[in-house]
Amino acid sequence: MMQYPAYIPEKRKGFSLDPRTKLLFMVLIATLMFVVYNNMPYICVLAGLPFLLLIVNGQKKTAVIYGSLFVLAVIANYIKDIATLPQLLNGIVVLLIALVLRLFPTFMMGYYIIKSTKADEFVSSMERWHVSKKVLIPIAVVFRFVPTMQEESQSITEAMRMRGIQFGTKKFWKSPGTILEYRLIPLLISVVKIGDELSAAALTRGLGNSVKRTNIAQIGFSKNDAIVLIISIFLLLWAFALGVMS
Amino acid sequence: MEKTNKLNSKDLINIGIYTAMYLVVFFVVGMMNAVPILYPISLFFVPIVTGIPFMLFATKVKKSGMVFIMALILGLFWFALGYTWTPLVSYIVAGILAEIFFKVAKFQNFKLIVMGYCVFSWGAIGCCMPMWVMTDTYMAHIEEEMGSQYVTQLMQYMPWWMGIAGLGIIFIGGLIGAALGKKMLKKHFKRAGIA
Repeated sequence: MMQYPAYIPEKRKGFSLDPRTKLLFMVLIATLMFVVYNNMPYICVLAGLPFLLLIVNGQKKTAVIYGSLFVLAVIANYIKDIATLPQLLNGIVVLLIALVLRLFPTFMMGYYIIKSTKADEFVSSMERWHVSKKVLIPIAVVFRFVPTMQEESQSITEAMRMRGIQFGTKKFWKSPGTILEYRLIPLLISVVKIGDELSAAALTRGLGNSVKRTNIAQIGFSKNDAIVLIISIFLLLWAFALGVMS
Repeated sequence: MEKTNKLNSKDLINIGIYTAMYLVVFFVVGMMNAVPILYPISLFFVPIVTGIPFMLFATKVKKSGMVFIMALILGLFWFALGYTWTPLVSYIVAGILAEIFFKVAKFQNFKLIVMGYCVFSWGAIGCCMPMWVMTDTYMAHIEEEMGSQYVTQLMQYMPWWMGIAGLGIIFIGGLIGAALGKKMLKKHFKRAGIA
C-alpha cells in the first residue's frame, strides 16, 4: 500500500510569537502602565515595543499613525507649560495627553494581537491552557465573523448608495434614523443567515463531537518568545529600580 | 435536537455570532468616543443601537449561561483591546446580574428580559472606568506639578459621580434600545423568519 506523507504546515515567516506569550506580554504592559505613570523614558519604551511589533508584523500604516500621535502627545507634554492656556482648554489638553500616553501602548498591543493571531493558533494554545470549550468556540466564531461583517457591510453600503441612503444626502437629513434601519437590519439578517450555514458546516465537520480534537497549528516556546521573556524581565527590573529610587 | 439544559455547539456558535454583531455595532457607535466631551452621549446611544442585535439574541437564548458567556467574551475583548482590567470586571458582574434576570424570566417574560438587557449594558461603563480609576494616580501626579487648585478644577469637569450618572444614562438608553429592538424584531426579523 502506498504511504502518503503527513501534511506539515509551512513554518511561519517573520517574527512570530506564541499567542500565550502575546497575551501575557499584553497583561504585563497594561500593568506596568498602571504602576509606572510618571517616568517619561519608561513610558516611551513601553510604547515603542508594540510599535516595533506592529512594524515587524507588517501593519506599517497603523503603526505610523499610532506612533506619531504618541510622539505628538509626548512633545505636547513637555511644552504644555510654556504657553498659559485658559483653564478649560488646558484641562482638556492635559486629559487628552494623559489618555494618549496612558492607553495607546495597550491599544497598539491589542491591535497587534488581533491582527497577528490566526484562529487555529489561538484555539490550540488556549486549549493547552485548559480554557473551556464553552468560551473558546464563541471567541473563535467572533474572530471568524468580524471580517465577514465588514465585507457584508461594504456591499450593503454600495447597494444603499444606489438608493441615495448615505451620509449627507437630502434623504438622510430628512430622517437620520433610516440610515440606521436600512443599513443595520440587512446586515444583521445576512449575518444570521451566514451564521446558520457556518454552524451547519462546523457540525458536519465534527465540532459537536465529544472526542478531543487535534490541531496542526505550530505553537510552542520559540526563540522569539525567549526574546520577549528577556525584555519582560528587563522591564520588570527597571520598574522595580524606579520604585526603589522614588 | 435533544432537549437538554446543557449548551451544545449550535448554542455556542450562536453566542459567537451575536457577540460579533454586538461588538461591531458597539464599535461603530462608540466611534464618537474619539471626542471626550461626547463620552456621556455615546453612553446613551450605544445601548439604544445595540438593543437591536441583543433583542435578536434574546430570542435565541433558551438556556442558562448564554448571556453570561457573551458578557465574559465582551469583557475579554475590551481587555485585549487595551482597556485594562476594568471592563472585564464590570462585564462579569453585569453578565451575572443579567443572567439572573433571564433565569427568573424563564427566557420568556419580556419585561424581565428588558431589565436584563439594561443591566447587561452596564458592563460598558467599564470601558470608561480607566479614566476614573487612573485619574487617581494621574491626579496625584499633576498635583505636584500644577498645584491643588488646578486639580480641583479638573475634577469638576470629570467628577467621579459621572460614573453613577453613566449607569443611569445607560439604563435609560437600554430601555429605549430594548423597545427599538422589539419593534425591529416585529417589523423585520419575524417577517424574514429568523426570530
